[in-house]
Amino acid sequence: MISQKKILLVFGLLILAGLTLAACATTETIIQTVIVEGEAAPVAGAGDGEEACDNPYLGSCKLDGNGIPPDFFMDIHVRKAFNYCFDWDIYISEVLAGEAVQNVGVINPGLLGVDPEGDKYSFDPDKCAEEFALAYDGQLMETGFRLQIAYNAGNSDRLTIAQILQSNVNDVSENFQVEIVGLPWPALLAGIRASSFPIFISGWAEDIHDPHNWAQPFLVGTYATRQKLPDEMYVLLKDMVSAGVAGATDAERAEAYGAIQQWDFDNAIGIRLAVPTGRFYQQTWVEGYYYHPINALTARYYTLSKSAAAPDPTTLTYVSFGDLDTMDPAWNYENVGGDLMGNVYDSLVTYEGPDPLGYVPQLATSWEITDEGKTYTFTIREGVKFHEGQDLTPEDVAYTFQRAILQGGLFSPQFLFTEPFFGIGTYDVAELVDPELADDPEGLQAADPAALLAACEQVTSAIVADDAAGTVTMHLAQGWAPFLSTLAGSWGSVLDKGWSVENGAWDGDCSTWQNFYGIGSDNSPLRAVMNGTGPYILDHWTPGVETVLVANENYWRTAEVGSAWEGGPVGTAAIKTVVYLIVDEWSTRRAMLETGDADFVSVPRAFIDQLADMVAQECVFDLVAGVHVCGDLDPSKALIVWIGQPSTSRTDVFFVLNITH
Amino acid sequence: MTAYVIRRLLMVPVLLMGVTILIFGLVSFMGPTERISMYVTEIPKNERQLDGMIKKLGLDRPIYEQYWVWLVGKRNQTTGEISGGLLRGEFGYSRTSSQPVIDIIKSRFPATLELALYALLPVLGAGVLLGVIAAVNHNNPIDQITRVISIVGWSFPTFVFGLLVLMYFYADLQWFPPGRLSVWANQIVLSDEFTSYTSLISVDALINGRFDIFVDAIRHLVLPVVTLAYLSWALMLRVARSSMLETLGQDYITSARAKGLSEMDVVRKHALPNALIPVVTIAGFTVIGLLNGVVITETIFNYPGIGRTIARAAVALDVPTVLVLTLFTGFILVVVNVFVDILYAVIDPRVRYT
Repeated sequence: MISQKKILLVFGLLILAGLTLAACATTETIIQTVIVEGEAAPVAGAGDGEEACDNPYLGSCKLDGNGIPPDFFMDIHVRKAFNYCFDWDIYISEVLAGEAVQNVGVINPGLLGVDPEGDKYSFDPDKCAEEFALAYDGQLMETGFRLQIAYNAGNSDRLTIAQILQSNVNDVSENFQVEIVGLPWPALLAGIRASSFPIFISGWAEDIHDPHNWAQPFLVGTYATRQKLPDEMYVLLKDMVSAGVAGATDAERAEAYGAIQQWDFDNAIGIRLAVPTGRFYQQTWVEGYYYHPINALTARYYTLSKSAAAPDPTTLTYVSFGDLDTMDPAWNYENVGGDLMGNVYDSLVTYEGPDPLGYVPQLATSWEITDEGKTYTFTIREGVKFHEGQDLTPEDVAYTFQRAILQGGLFSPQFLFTEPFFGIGTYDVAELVDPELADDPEGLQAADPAALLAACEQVTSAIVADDAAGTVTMHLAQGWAPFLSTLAGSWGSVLDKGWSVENGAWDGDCSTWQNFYGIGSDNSPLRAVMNGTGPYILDHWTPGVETVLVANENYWRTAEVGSAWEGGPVGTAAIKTVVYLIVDEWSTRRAMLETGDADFVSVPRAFIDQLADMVAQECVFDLVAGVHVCGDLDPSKALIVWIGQPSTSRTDVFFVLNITH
Repeated sequence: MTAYVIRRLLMVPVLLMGVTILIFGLVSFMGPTERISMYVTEIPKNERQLDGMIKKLGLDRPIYEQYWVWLVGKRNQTTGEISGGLLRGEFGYSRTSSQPVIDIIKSRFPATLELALYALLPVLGAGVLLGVIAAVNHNNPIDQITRVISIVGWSFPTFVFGLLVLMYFYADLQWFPPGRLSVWANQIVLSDEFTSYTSLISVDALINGRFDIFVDAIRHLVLPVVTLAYLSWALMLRVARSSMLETLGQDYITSARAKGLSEMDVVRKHALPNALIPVVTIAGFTVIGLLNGVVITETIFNYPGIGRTIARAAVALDVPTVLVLTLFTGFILVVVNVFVDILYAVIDPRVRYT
């Protein structure tokens, strides 16, 4: 069929092609493939060649109508103008199907210190024109400008955001030319990281339900860095954010966050868009649903049950797309795996049922906060057993957190712990040895052994177990109001020390910790195994296909111990088998809802209409009362839909104040 | 003949190496940030995340160094350990599939193989048979009808046919579910009481004496097999038909008839062997296509085959996965080609390999 000679020829051509490509690329020619929506392509610096300008997104790099200078967004009037030119009503109705609320300031609603009646921008073409007229001492209106908004190609939501801005800004003057550029994700990431784009659109989802988790990334952390905020702003913001997180009382914190909200309005470093509300569809026979902003339903199967009307009352099937990344709590930083851990592992504290801000004892029976919020002493519950039979001891708890921090890794959630324990701005334990060694395991292993030992001892003295007294004491670097909410997350899951060491994790010896540092979520020995104290046991995980949990018959939360909150579940879980099925195709998921094979599925917003005929009852969330109000139930139909619960994520528009050039 | 086969198989590593060099050449166009984009789906949560990862994965090193490290591994300066390296048996980890790449092949290829084998029966059997019948009954109603069915099959987009079939036979009738096995059956298969001999679940179920699992496996296979078969045998039918027609028009067929042989003998002994040669060629391509995985069918019926995995990995720029899976599919391609060549020699006495 294919002769030998031809095979040799093909092989030779392949080698030649490969080498040629490699040679081209390594001569450091950067090829940017840009798919442009609209007419013009990025124009290389077309001026007199005064200032070397390598950034095609800046056009001429000057205020001559054919580009923008790198500090275009340093002018407050430009920033305000863009804000007044954004139409929130159209955004909410077109992109979010009307199910959203405009956000006031940088922190999401319902959190401490947020004033929903505070100052906010709204669409006002006149004010937009006014602000543009004031920009650059009135020069901008004459010279005009040209800039490009980059978005994630294929993401129609973000395209619409860009189009709203484009349409309104271009209407102000015919000298204003806003263009839109759709880029594949890798190219977009590269550009945002290098701060090459004048404007970018991005989203954030909460890790913990606390205002610090908005203030930090937006004002001093990841976004602030990419927006290249000037030093004066950065210094001021750092103080404000620290005041917020270290505030001793709620009142102090609220004041700090109120000040942040006002600063954000006055300085308009971005456009704060809207908080979408979510929908949740379930079969009528599933019972126990309640809304909690951050404790997802899929992290608390323990609270669910199925009525006898269900075809299979003891098995719950949840169908979605997306598989978990790793089962190691120290490394996992995505929802699927994190939610799974909420069922199989326990943390020291847990969420108080539907109360968005309450925390109640779980593996810690009580705790004391002393020393101006810097010292936490937890009393560890007795009589708790892990799934494989080991007993829970304070040493297990201390080991869990010491090991987690010492494993480090900037891709892990550990920065949520290193900041409270070692100070704001410490994102990784390797920085305790040398700030340059973060995410450099080889470099760390080659560091001075004395420094390595000292760093380890810094960690082990910050987290101390007292088996005799039955307590674990944690010493923070400063008061940290979100500490309990951090502990409640999946990264606070408590491991058994013996079992972990058996499986190949660090053994607690301070002379070897560097060998376990930064191994990555794929190399962790706990990547594919789980042994927790929680209400469910991992039955099996077939990657890309399904994850199955079975109820823990020996769960420590007996009727005697009592429920975690009033009305909460006790004893063995009502649902005996939980199946998480991965089905990428929406039509197939919908078919599974129709046949009853799925109890609830992930529904993309675009396909809500397809389920309209199947809805038996609608329950709408009352933002004021904080509960859902349900309509009548039509027994001939299959689904209940819960509408209007605020999400903990938001997409915003960001200005880069000092664009790379 | 044996020497020929051996020579052909010795070319395999050489050819595959060429493919990997080509892929690395393409990859070299992407900067480190683009390569790392697979690890993040949004702006990284803290600003130095990407730097460390890039350094750790060596994405800022020159491309030939990256290739060498991928091929033979890397020595840790401090501890002296060597890690990685394809030639040392380290196939890498798949970020998009959350498991080592070798596990992907071990778990997903048997599924693809099972689906391919069941799909081949109707494709080859019915396709060739109907094509031959159509050709023999040239321009009769049978011929017209099979041609119409064939065109419809050829023109129907996979996803439309697949979804229609899913909606009717699963959502409405609930006869044939998506996936590979029901949850209860999978739990038994994974447990100790079930031994896997061939890694084809339907076959293993019979060997283990579990008729209920066999039925469950077949039930899950029906829809994807029907979808694949319907859309593939159209091609097979047309090739068989036109090849047969051409053969029937040859002079030696006329002489055979003149000699007084029955029509059946003419077709079976004289026409068919000659007509089959192009059919074998197309069959070879069909087999290769099926074994490489059928992305759309796998997606619609949620069948855990290898096609969907590699498609997802490619889109997300999961280079380690794409490299190894490409090597694997390249290997299959070469093996099947050799097999097809042997088959030529069997069918056609004129073909002799030296």
